[in-house]
Amino acid sequence: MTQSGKMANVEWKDVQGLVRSGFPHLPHAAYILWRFSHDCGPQAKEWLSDLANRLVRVEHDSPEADAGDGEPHQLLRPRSIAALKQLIAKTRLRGRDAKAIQIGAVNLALTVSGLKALGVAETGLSHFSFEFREGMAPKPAAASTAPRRSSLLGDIGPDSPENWDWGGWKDSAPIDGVMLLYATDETALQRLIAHESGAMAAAATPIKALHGRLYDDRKEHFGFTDGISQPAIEGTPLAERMGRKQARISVVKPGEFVLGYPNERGAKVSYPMPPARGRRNSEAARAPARDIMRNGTYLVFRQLEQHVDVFDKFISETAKLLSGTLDPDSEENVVSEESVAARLVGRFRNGVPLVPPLADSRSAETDTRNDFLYYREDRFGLACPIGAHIRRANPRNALGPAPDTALRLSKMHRIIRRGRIYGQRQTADAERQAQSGDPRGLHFICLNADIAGQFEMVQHTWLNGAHFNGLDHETDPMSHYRVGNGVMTFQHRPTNLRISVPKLVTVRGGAYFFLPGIKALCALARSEGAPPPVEAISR
Amino acid sequence: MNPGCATIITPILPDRTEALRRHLRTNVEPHFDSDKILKCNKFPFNEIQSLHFCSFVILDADPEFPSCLVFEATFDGSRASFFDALMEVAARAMHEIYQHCEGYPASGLAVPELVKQYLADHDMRAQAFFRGSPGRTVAQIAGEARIYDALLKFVSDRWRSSHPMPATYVGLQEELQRHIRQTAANRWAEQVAAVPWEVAARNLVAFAFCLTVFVTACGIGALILGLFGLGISHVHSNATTYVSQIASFLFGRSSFQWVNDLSDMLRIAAPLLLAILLGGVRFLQFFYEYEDPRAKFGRRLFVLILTIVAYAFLAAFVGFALLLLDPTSKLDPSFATWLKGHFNEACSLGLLFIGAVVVFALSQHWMTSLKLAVQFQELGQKAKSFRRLVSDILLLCKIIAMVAILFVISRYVSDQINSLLVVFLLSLLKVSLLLAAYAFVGAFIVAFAFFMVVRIKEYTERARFANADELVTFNNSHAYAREEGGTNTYQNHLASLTYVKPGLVRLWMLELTLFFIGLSSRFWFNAGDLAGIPTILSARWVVIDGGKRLLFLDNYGGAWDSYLNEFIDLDAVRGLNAIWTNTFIKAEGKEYEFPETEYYFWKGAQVERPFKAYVRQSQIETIVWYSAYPKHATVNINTRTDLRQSLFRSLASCEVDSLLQNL
Repeated sequence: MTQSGKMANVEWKDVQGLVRSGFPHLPHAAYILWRFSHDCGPQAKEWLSDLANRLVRVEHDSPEADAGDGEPHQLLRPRSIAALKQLIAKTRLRGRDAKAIQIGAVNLALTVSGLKALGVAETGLSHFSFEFREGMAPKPAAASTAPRRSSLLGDIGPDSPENWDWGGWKDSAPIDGVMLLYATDETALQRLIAHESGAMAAAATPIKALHGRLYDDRKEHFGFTDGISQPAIEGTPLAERMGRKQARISVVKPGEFVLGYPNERGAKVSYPMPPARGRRNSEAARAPARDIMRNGTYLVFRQLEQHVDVFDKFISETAKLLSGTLDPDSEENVVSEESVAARLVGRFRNGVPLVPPLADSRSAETDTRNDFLYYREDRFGLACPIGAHIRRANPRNALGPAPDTALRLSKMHRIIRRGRIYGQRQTADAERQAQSGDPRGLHFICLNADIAGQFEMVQHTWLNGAHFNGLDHETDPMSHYRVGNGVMTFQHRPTNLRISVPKLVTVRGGAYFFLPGIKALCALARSEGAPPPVEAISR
Repeated sequence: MNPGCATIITPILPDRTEALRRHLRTNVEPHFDSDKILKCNKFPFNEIQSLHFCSFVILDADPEFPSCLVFEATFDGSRASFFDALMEVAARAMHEIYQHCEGYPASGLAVPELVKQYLADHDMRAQAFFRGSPGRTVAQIAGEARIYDALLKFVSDRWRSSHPMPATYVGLQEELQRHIRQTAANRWAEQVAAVPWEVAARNLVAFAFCLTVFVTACGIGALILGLFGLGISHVHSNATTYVSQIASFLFGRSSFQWVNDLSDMLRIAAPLLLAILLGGVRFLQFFYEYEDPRAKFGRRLFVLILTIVAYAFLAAFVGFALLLLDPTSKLDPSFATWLKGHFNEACSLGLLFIGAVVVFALSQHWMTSLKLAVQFQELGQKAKSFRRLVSDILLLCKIIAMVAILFVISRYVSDQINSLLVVFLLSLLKVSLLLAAYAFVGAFIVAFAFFMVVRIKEYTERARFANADELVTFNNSHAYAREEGGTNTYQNHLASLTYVKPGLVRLWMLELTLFFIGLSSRFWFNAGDLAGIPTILSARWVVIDGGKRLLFLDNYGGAWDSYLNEFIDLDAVRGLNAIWTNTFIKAEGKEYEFPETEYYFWKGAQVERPFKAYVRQSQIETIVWYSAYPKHATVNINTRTDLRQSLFRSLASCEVDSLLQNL
């Protein structure tokens, strides 16, 4: 069903590049958490306005001056995604003989304390979402009860912020922001880090540098191919290219991911608020000079440690346990580990979904598909269990009074995922024992315009929901929050199978950031310490 | 059998509010222990067997009203028996709380009767009360949970054991039954659960309600039309005259020959014409159908008008067809005599009729295959429209067939029966048209008056109150800091206090709306969901302080945000708007009204952020909350009851399969 209303024109020149691309051509990444050194003086402002020029945006006006001839020792810094793609294409054209071009990209995000340090006053901050202002791990008021945010996200017990490496209650001072650096290879990344740290030295101190990596097969530590299902923003080339069925499922209005444009409910989240009909517009009349929310988005960052050895042990034991039950057609009557792993997530580890294609569909059963729906194709969960990870994270048309309504509602809770894994990947069985001790996991990064309605909703109500879709008492096996004995039901005939899944993930750190638009960042940087134009509203 | 509710509101003695709050927080509030079991503190809630939920809320002092303590309870049985149990188990605890309240008898500890009287005097009940799982006692819910766990354990161990699975589903069902019967403690499950009469008689009550509304509308319509001289008696005696006047206007003789020729053609082609017009209206409907409840008001109205026009055409078609039957009516004498004279032409018409039958059969086949197909795959927009078109063709074919058959029969049946048949049909037609007209007029007048009054109110109040948009930046987090944490891990409690907008009109509208919601909660929405929202365990609305404030107390499952999203995005938003549009809140010295509604039911809460900000501002902290089954959701409770009920019935294989899918 086509959406009502016309398409919004998003100012992509002002939006940072992470919103539209996960920089797949820059597989090495570093996330540097920093805080302002001292009182945010002119050095900080200078650094930020300088950095704003180097940030990669989605689109850029001027022709790429720094594309360069591709001298082998130059670290190239394209300013738009298109320029980046051009550079990559140039590298490919040159062939394997020529030295690879080194390319780096930077994006910047700030926390609420970072905004406060830059001089945004309470009146300006009060328009940001309450979750962002409170932070992912607010300190508890009383010793006994966990704060609301932590209970909501399931960050209790071993995942509690008191055990976090960063962003939790052990931190002496708050994080002010994160710099997301992407590069083509390890040397380029080091050069980029050195360059940016040098630029930052006068204004801010780095707290922690986290590393992320994107492999060619796109697999994460448990072996699953990740990043297959991403929403496409309406009006972008990706959305236009999609087939009708896929578009119906995946195309989402821009306001769900970029502030200042209409979202799936038709509302705009921005500051100032659009005037109510028929009212004297007292707010907008004294509007600030620059809307710092516009073209920005909220970035949720969580470091999730994955217990790969526990996972491997679990699936091999379960495969033995279920022998003869799951795959009665298989000749040896043996259930493969692949089947078990697939049931947990909803896709096989090579990315093929469990939900079978329709009879009239042109795709084969072995394709990595994303255009399936649950209501008519697998309503009772016999192919893909109802509590499986992808079914919980994006229920499509399974959760609601009618399938069309459910699909429309599910679009209001999509997130763009931009995470990368960290730690050594297990490559072969022989190395497993040796490497099992190193920490490895996922830096989960997602972008959305409404933290409570998108990320927190998915995490709390769907992934951590013990009664999700009528289930009795179980949560997502891939989530850190377990209830009961961590039981998961595999829907099966004649009776369901109940498997006890151990805890596979632990939360190690996290924070809520704001990824500002370029002009907004410049406006923040311009304020001289005196009340900046951002909050020039005298009540 | 149906759980009762009590909402006891007592004013607190001056300067005792903080002490009471501290006492409730430290001594009364239950806590989850390390095993996630809810343990009661000094107040032994869990010893009151009939208590489902209860909560204590303090309404802070206001310039107009003193501070009050609200004790909300949902229990089984009568209020008197609940108070008896309460006094038996928790007399001291109640004394420790209520000694802070005004009017509490000082000798209450010694004489429980006085306390019961005091509580009964201050009980405000509820204007509207909704229960997610009506008709089940605490013991039944706990027992069914135990049965469910026993079955679950049995089933999950079953496939691991070496015993081969039974060959049939019924065999498996028998195994389950045996397992339950084995344990003496579980044998009660075999008895059929008592179903409250409101649930059993649901359809009957709905039908009775619709009938009452219809009769009332007819009455109002007749009264109003009677003022214009078109009352019942007048119309009844002159019905035939009116109909023939209309008919002769449409089909009678005129002085112009071309008009007569045209009207002759029209008479024969009239059914076809009406059918084409009906098809045209349906066609327009396909283009203007909307799926999104946020579609513009103009579009919604247009589609509504199209639907009414379509049905009007259908009715006209039926009426015309019936009138065609009457050989004695002054309507169309020429056609009947024409037929008698032109029998051969009539035979060719008969052949056409057979052709119509073939079309009928084809449409029926198409229709059935589409009905089957829609179960297995999404129908595109074109296919859906085609399906509706085909169903209309079917309907018309059926009507044509009926009329033709009656027509043919009436030619060969004796005149007496003929005239009886015609008289009967014509009277039926006249009466139904009359009733429809009266009901329509009555309903229209009432609705028109209501919506006009509402719209005027909405416009005038805009100037008086501030817009809820400004609330988005306010912070009321202290009131809900304990949500989704502590005791509220699985179920949540929401307490909201708003002011009723001034004026009798607003108060009456609120009372009327709450009355209808209460009625529908009791008789229609008693299967577990309130207009499509499945997460509410119990909700009540109480109008307090002589109509000045509205208190809303709600036990629901899941997080606050997702709970409100369900209201915003589904049809229940209209009910929400209807209640809350009569309220406003005070914050930082200004009065903010509920986000503007259009015509009482539309928009309002659909604007997400101001609505959520409004609810947050109106929220007050729940100090004590207790639930007899804190880990269960409404859906699970209802599923378990169905499971237990159906386990001991004789079931078909597919029914046993769906039973097992729930385990």
